[in-house]
Amino acid sequence: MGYEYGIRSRIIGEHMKKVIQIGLPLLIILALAFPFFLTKKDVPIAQLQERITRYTQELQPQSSQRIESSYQLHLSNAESFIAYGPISYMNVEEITIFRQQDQTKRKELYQKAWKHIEQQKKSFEGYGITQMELLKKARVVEAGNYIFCVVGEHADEILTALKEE
Amino acid sequence: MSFDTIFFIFTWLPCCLLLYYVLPKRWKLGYLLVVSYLFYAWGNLYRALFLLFLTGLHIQTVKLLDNLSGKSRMVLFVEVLVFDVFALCFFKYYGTILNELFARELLQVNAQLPNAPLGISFYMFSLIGYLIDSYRGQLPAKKNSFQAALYIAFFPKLLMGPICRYQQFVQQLEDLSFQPRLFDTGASRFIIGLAQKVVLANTFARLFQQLQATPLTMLGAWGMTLAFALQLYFDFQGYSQMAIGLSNLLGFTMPENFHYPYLACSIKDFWNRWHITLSHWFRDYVYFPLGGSRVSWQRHILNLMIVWALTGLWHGANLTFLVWGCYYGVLLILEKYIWYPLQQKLPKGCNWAITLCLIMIGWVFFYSSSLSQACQILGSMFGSANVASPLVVSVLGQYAGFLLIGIVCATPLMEALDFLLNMYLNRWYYLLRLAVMFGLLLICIAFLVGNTYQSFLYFAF
Repeated sequence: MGYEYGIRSRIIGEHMKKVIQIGLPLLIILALAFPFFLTKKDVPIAQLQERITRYTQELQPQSSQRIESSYQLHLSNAESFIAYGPISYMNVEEITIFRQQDQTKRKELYQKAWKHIEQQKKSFEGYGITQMELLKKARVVEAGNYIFCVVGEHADEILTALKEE
Repeated sequence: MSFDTIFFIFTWLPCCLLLYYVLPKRWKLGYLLVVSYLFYAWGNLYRALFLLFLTGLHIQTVKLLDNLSGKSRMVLFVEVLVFDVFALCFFKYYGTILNELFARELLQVNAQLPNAPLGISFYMFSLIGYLIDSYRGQLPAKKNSFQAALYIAFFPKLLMGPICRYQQFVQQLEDLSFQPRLFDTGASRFIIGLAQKVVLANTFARLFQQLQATPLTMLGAWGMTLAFALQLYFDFQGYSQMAIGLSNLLGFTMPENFHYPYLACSIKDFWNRWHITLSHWFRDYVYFPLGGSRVSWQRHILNLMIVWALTGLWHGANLTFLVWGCYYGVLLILEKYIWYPLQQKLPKGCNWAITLCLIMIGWVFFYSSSLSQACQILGSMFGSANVASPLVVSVLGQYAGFLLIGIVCATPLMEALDFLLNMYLNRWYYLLRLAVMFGLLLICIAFLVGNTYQSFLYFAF
């Protein structure tokens, strides 16, 4: 019945049993201990600001009211933020960074950022071809304690620079 | 890789099917195994290696269980089962627990654990089922490692089910010849599933998001919940249809996962229609081993609460999922012990309306990110906020057509129409069906190309 074992197979079976009986508890212990060897690098937001300086030449800083209105959120949900947006309302380029250590609030910020992008797409749907192209390439990423929302030609480059920090 | 992408539909699938039916029968098993791992490894090799490790572990364990007896057999079984449950909990809950402790300053580490491998909640249940069936002696005596590996990794069902049993799957491997009717059914099901996901589910997702952005009103809260209910149904039903369709294209049959759940006339009936394979899995591997209903009423209540708490937790680490699961546990207990006589006396329509209302309330917990948000929405639904706002009415008005289509498609009306056309049109039926499927496919392509990619909701579990 089941698998037929010769003597050699039986010996291999015994070894495999020992490997499983010792290996699995070891794996569980290692997995439980794993996060304690993995500290998340907490980068101050000012450091990220320096990283994106060269990408903000053609953008302007956005006020709290502007961010609250366009993202439909209360900034009290974020510990701090950096926001650069277009000078003209006809453009869509932006770099917004929210810092939030609480995972639940960070998730909400993440969802709000995506909704903001979707809302922008609705605004330019049908007539803003360039804007739509940029919005389709928009990136919203959670990394560490941060949410990055980047819209622009160099979105990937900016995100790489931020993630490297 | 996802089923609802242009690459999958027009490149991967045709190549996969063509090679599959060209290869001799003795190579098909190996080919499907390679293709399944390639599908899973696409974009992330590590998750495929993890799956390979788990599969190898279980195949080896089953071999050992066949040749052990008594205490050592039980010890080995328990060890591997504990490891399986641990692996699932590690990826789903450990990071959340640690971050919660970190946020409350009880811990100094801010953990960024690796993301849970896609589909782990589903394939882990296949692995656990395979292990338990082996321990119970319910597997066929003659086993094949490649067949077992394919059962776990079979790409149509790997990421989001349906959760099928080893015995059901393996007996189909004896005949992998081309079956024209099954192929035809599979193609239709795949296209219908694609339409449900890409056209309906994604549209209701947008409606849900738009209503979420509006100030809370009674109409908005109900509209949002209805949109979510339809989004979740078509998203998951769409995926299941596509998975079953793909299986049919490859000559396999898979169990059904949904049977018009929003027509249920009781909560028990709802769970016999919604995510059927999951509720059957919990029934067979948790509820029955705990004693089921063949125990004292106190123990039965406890069994139900355990099963439903686990069902809720399976969906995610958030407290709202646990509350959602327990909510259904309580409803089922009330239905069995208190409401049942009243349900028998009420007309079917009344039972249906009450059940639908209870299901909608349940979905509020499901989509809310916190209990306070859920309570706020429930309050609005039952009168704590304004009745409606012009914005909500406008949004709902824009989607009225889709809402009507969604509601119709959630009932057997389309199936009934199909049956009538088949009966009355005779030979013209197949031409009409072909034209409709082709048209549906074109519509899906238009939606796929035009819209932002919206991933399957159940990928999150």
